[in-house]
Amino acid sequence: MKVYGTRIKGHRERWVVKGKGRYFWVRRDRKGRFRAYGKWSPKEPLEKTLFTEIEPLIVEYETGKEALGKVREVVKEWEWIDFEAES
Amino acid sequence: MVHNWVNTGYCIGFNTDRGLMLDLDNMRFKKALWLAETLLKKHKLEGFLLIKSSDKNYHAVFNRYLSWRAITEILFSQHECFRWAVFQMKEGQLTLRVSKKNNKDKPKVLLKVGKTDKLIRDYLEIYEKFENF
Repeated sequence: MKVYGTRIKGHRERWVVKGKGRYFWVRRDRKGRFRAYGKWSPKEPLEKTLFTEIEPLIVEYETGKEALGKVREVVKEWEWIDFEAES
Repeated sequence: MVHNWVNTGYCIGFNTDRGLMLDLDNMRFKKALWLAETLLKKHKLEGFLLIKSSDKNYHAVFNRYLSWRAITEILFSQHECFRWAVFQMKEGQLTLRVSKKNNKDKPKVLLKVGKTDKLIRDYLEIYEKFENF
């Protein structure tokens, strides 16, 4: 069983998506005013403390119930990036 | 080619290397059914499950457990499966989505043909458990 998605650990800055297949990060100040932007790639973390993983999580299981429990745990453990909501 | 991102939340996939599953993209229902029936007869796969993942996109799961060698042979015997097969070979497993993805709904089971006691049973167990995902 696999869980797909772009998931992230630790602090992160705001993301924005511009166009298909091109991802940018955007930094804003406390009042939400634009400060800077740059091209983003999942291979290059924005900060040293930041860790982004796009590989699928593989969940081993024997019964369906066990799989459901394990996937629920895994899903809660990570923060999942929602590109559409933040674009 | 633009990578097909999971851009909203996460997505759950059922993966196996014990049996044959197909992702039939850009295909009419008739063609998907024909392909599943052809493979069923040709390779004696006991039964199949036809699933609609989105418009003109179907999934097929076959009942019989097979070796990885047999799976690759069957996949590369049909030109409709080449593209998907190449990506699956890289991972060493066949994966089909069982949950919602971006704006696409959860796949829907359309047809059950023949026996459903092996791989189809495993697939349906997961499919039903993840009903709300």
